[in-house]
Amino acid sequence: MTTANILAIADQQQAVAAVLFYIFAGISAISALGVVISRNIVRTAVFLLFTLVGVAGLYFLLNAEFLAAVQLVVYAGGTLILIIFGVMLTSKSPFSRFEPKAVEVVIAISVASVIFFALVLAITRTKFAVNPTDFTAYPIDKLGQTLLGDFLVPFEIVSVLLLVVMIGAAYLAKGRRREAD
Amino acid sequence: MTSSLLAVQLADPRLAWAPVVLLIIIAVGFAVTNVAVSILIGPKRSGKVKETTYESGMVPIGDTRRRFNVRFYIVAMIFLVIDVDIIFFYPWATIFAPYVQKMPDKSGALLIEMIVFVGLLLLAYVYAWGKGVFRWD
Repeated sequence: MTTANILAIADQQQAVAAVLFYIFAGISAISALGVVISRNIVRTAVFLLFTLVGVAGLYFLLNAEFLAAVQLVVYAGGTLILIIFGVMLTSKSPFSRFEPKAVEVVIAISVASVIFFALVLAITRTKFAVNPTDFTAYPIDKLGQTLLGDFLVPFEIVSVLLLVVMIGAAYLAKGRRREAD
Repeated sequence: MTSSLLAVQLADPRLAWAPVVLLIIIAVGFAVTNVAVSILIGPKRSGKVKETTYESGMVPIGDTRRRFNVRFYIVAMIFLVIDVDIIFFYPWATIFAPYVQKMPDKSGALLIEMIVFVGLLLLAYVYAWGKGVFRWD
């Protein structure tokens, strides 16, 4: 295989990566618009799911597999489920809809435009590296080795934290039921 | 120079995701094709029964947008805790198989570390069980 061949393959891969980037970024952007525009709270949650999945795809493209997995499992899986459960457990009217007042719309637009302006300013002023960083520098197995080697005690303490969360949730749920009886 | 470039190309971890992309394409394609074909060639008769919500053959009760029993809250919490737990399986799983192959004497310690991690959580599960969280009465 000649160098020219390899460079051609590299070009191809970059083209594929670019196409994937635009697909994922498009999914995220359009769904984010849907989140803002939709008045139906359940539809908003579904749009949010696609936004989060699109962002996870971008993380995959950046070779941040662990971050992408966290994004999918914790945000797209966990947080969204919590939002849906929140709607299911609390919704009173058969079709709960957002009816924002004019003042709220004005406040939202002004805050959003300030953030948008700051983001555009930050992106245009940042000097991005032309050469891609070495994506083999932070492999997931290295993370595993560090977590289960040097940071074993914090790793197990995470489990204790989750234990406390679960016991707390069970205690609260049962306490509420006893009051009801 | 050529060999090192080739090594970089072959080691590109993005290529390892090709099966996942293929799976997504097949899944989305299957769903879209089924709906499209049934719209195109399916019979279009409508009736009172046909316009009810499909509930796997059952007669639907009420509306979807009603308030659900608050007991589902504990189901959501347990799901979330296990969900976060799974995240920590990922880095562990990537190193466990290589350790078993290359350093079998160290893989036992690795397994015990994970068993302790899961066992602590199982304790909470047993507590919730004992509290009667899973009873539906």
